[in-house]
Amino acid sequence: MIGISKLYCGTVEPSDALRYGRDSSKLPSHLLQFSKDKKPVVVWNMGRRCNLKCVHCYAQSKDIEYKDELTTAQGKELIDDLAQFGAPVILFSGGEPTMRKDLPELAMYARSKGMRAVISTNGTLIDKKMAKVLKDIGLSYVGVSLDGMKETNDKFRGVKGAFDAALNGMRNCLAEDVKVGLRFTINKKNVKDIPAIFDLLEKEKIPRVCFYHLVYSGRGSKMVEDELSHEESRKTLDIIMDRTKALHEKGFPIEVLTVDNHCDGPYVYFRLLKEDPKRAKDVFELLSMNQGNSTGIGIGCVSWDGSVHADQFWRHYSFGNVKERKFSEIWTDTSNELMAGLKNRKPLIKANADRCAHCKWFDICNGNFRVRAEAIYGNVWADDPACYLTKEEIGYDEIK
Amino acid sequence: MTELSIDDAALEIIRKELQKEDAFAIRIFIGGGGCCKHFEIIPVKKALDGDVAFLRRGLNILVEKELAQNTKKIEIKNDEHKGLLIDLT
Repeated sequence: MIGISKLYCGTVEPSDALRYGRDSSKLPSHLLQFSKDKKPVVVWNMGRRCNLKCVHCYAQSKDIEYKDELTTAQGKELIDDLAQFGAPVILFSGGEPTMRKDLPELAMYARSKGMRAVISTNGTLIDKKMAKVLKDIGLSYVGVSLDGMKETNDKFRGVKGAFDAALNGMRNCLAEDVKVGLRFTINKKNVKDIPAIFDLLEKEKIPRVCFYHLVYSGRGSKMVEDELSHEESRKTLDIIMDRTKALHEKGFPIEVLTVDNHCDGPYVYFRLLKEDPKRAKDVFELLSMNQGNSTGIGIGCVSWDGSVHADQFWRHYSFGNVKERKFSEIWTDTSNELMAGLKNRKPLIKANADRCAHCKWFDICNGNFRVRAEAIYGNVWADDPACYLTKEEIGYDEIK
Repeated sequence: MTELSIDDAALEIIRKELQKEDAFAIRIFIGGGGCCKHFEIIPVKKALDGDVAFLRRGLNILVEKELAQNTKKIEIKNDEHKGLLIDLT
């Protein structure tokens, strides 16, 4: 995750610190973890059911009842374990998490254990009543997926009216003072909508946007066909930086992040080197603290059926099931070759990935996304094909 | 300007970590981003632009600018079971 507004514009949203402050008086203290020892943020795909029919859904969800999902009691056991383990954040996802009736109960339970609770939703079911419920739960954040403006988004979502419903959902959250943000997965078919998305953010006063790079996973994934070329990725980052800066200069210091491609960090750094070399130095330090991709380390995933994955894109590989074994045990069991490899990946990548082995940014991106390497090359430890930095930029010829 | 307090147990844990890393200070900041924000602490060799510096019993503590500016008080303590904790008001 690369904070474009933080790195490029030098702003951190003050409201987060204030909100944390207010929370602290009512709740258990926040965990303060050494960066090298931090425990994972856990995405719990709590239910597979969804009211939309998104073409790229990694869960292949439908609006039907699914069996074998974790019960409320099993969900609470999972939360107990995560809280005890020190996981700072639980992200309720799906399917569509608001379709599970026990979402408020489980989210409040997580909060009572001192965890931050956030949800990732399509937003279409957040009417005024639901927004009030989300407010009462005390969710730290509601991320609403919109993959384009009206026409583009509804085509992706497979349901007419999805854009309007999601936008209403965000408006309802804002009216209740629930922190809301827009999630946008970039691909060939919707990249043209990014400028209009910035206009929408400004018009609707939406304070945060996360642009997700495409993560294609599993062998033979067809999603790769929708991936931008490297040149298109670079142009897209430039547009995102330009529009972020313009909004900040207009007095709307929105938080802008890009997710799932850590070479965005060096790309921002290179631009700052030209525009503001003094600030570029600090950005280098900030990137070093970020530690790059943390699949299997700082982020983990639990599926609706209790399977544990390295992150939400590793659904084709399970380390075990929380119905049989605690998440904390599964997560720390490095007798599993993939788990051990992800936690200590550098030697494996250096031995398998030519560009990474010769890259001066390797410690900063931590080898980027392994699941994309597996999808394209059939080798988990190969180069991430989405890294768009040039050989000159990675210092290919400098590192022997 | 925010106040900062740190209990003895937390101070010792951090001091040991600093010695291990041969670092000048520890830096407290909001790590992650978007939905995944959380509090992190890291040994550093130098302050970043805008960091607010505190000296507590010989220990250099840097707090990210925006975190310091938007809080009145930061308390760091150690819990035997949970580890380091932070309270903000």
